[in-house]
Amino acid sequence: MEFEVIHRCPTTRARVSRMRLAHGETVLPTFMPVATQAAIKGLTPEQVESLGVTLILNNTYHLNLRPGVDILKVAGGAHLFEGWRHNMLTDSGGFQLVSLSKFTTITEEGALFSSPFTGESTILTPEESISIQHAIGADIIMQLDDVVPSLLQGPRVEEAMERSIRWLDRCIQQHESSGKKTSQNLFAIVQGGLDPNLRDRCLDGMLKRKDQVSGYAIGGLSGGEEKDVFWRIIKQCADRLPQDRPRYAMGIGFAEDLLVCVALGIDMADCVFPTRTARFGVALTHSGPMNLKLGKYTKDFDPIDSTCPCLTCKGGTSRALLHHIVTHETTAAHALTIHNIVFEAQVMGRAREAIIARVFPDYLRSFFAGYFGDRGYPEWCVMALRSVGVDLLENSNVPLVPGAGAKWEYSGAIEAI
Amino acid sequence: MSSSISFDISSTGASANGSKFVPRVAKLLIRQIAIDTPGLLVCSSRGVVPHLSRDNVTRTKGIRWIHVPFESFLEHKPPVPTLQPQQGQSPRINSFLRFPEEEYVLSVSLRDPADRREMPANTNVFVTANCIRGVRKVTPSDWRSYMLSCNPDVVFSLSDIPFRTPPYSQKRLTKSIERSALWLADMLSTADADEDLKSTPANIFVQMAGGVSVPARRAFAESLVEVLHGKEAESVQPLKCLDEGVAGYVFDMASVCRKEVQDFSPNPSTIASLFQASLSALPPNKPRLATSACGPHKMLCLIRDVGIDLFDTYWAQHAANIGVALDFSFPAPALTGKHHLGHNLYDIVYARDFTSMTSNRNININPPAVCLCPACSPSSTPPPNIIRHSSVDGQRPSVSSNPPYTKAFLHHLLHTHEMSAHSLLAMHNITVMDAFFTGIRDSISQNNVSLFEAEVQRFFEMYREDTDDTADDDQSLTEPNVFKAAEKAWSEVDLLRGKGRLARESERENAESATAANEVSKKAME
Repeated sequence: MEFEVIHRCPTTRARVSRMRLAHGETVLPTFMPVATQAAIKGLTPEQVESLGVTLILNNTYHLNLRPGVDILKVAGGAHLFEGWRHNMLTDSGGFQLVSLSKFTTITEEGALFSSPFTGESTILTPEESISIQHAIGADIIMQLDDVVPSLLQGPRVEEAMERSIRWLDRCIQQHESSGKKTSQNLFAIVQGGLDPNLRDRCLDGMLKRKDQVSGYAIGGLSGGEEKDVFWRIIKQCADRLPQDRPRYAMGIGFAEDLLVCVALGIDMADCVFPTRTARFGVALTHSGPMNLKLGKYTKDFDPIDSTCPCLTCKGGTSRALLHHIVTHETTAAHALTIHNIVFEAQVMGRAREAIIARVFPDYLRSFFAGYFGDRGYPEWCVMALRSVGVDLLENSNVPLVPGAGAKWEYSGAIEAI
Repeated sequence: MSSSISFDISSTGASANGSKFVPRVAKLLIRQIAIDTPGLLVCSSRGVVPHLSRDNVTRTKGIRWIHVPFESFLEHKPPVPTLQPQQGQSPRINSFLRFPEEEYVLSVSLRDPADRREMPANTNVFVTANCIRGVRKVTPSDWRSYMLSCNPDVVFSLSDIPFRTPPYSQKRLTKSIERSALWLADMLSTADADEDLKSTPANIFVQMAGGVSVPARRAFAESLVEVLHGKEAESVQPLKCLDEGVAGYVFDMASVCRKEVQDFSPNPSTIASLFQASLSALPPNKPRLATSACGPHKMLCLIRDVGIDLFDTYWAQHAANIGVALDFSFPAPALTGKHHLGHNLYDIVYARDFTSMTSNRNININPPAVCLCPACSPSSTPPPNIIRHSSVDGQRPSVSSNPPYTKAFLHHLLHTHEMSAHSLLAMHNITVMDAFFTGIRDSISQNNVSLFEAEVQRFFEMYREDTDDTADDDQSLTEPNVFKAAEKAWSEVDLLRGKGRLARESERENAESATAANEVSKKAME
């Protein structure tokens, strides 16, 4: 991997960088859409490519079950198997073991779980995770970490953090000896729950291994924790992670979360949110989510967003037509998936542009005014951005909303969750 | 109402006998869009081509004509497409559905021609149609005003096709043809009191009534060419007879292929006699369109025996829904043995098959046949059309063509219930149909009817008809049919999906193997 920071925001910690991987270049900060089972839901790789996306995520846990490593090996890796010509990142499978598998037990050796196929108990070790990811062949691969629920407290969190460092060593060992180092890049995952001391200790351990890792992810967040805690952990980690390594916030997808993370120094994020919410009929826009199932769109002949460059909006597909097909026709999911992926890419692309033009704080202010101006700024966003020198409330009389403050369109009214 | 239509028959299976019922090649010109026939139109559902986002419709070159059943829009009154703001000269239906009028022909019928469910009876004054909020009654004047407002290129007039369990009485048949003729007259009427409705919808295609009765079909056709008098004549003036206002004829396969019809056994020759009965009294120079014809065998018979010009791709799109990749061509390639019309990609044999959807059989053909669909011949978006999100976004290498998607990948997508499988299959199957019709046109254009008939015969010998709707009971005795197996696999994957599906799947597999083991031991005990 070649990684080069090309612009820095003079105010915040945000930066623009180029990351060159085996399948081309990706400019950061960027959002990575998720192709869980080797396909972005409903789209073909040609379509995803046309949206200006150069880095997607595949899930190791799922690909290991189907089609399975044997078939991927014969195909020559996931890129060839699924026809994706650009960059790819795979997770380690650890997260799904905890979220999807009922009987997972973590031992020092690895994650012991009952195979969903046979019911037999199987063990996923750090070595095994890396070797599966080698077979998949993603440009960026993740260490196996010991994942605990975000809200968990007590000694188990500490144990998981310590173990994640030990497992990182085993992953490094496996990766170094594989001969895949030139084409695949291993990222470490900082754990430590919501406890700043544990996070610091994890950072200490993982920073020592900097020469053996190509980048760092921040894990264990986005699991229902207080947003005020969330941003502080992101900031703490991003502040300490090295300048010359990409920083990846796992499981982040709301527009406001993405922009706060970028301001705090994050380069990459992934989430199923934009593609999943598309399947439920919700379009993301610069003035908030739009729930196309609602009756008020029945006779609305405007596109979702007439300024959006996506194929759905540019082709003029109206909210009325989308309302007619959402949840009935798969093409409604396709149309909204296309739109939402482009929306996320636009949010991040405009961030890059603003950082380059040294007007990133202005971009933050105008984005938040457009997105939340009608209802109030989430308090945590204001706090987080103040911590990097941007005051959203400067020259503004928008009220503050406590709590998560995320915006959602449930019924006729826009509500907070 | 300016949408012009012309239909030029360039060659026919050429017979000295001057028969109306010969295969023919023609060019149908609707506005500036040329449709070569025999050719295809694509089915839509709720106004969209199932599984194809708008850019994938564009990528599928065979899609020029899309048929739109209107009934789903009856959920609201007035139907939403009629409220679409007028955009320039574009027909409202094209603007609403976003099929640019310079690229796509749209035809509209009230009902979905493929929908065979039982419906409450029509009456003299309304037709019943189906939408998700229930059954709606549509009067001929509603239909006329909806179509005047939407202004599609082709409108199917209302027909009284009985959707109750046959057999139908003589009385019911008489009623059916009388109503259909009456409703066509309504559609053609120029005597409306309302000034706005004085014009008539553009090109009217009429669904040929008469069900499975040869005399009834003949009677309906005769009523179209009968010279009108008195009030009837006044209302449609300057037309002398209804047929003068008709631009094409529609043959509904779904209603004649129903299994429940007791005294009619649908087979190529009985169906051909029905359709010939419909056409015998009518002029030969208008396009003939068949809806829901199930597969190439039936289509070839209809082309050969009746001279049908247009077919919807209902069957091929349904195959895409159930995971079947079509793999056949006309003229049939020089192969030995009997072949299926497609591959059931759910089948485990494809799990490691890294060839394209059409490459297994054609490998020995020289030059090898390459399917040009976006799944078998995918090509990258040209860099200028790739959305750039910031000025530093890297220039991407312009890769013009990419390797085909493999059966193994589609097998994986089907088993993981990924929507992309059906997108790729729909593009592929429609393209296979498009190539099939191109082959047919080339063959008919040789102006040698016996040559074409010989090719049809060779096609029948090479390919096994997989979805015989009419007489499929004996097929269960032979090897399982690809389409039936796919349908079964599709419904199983659909049933099992969601959290915990792998466990459910293995449970089912265990149960199946246990049953199989029991069978074996039972036999052993006997």
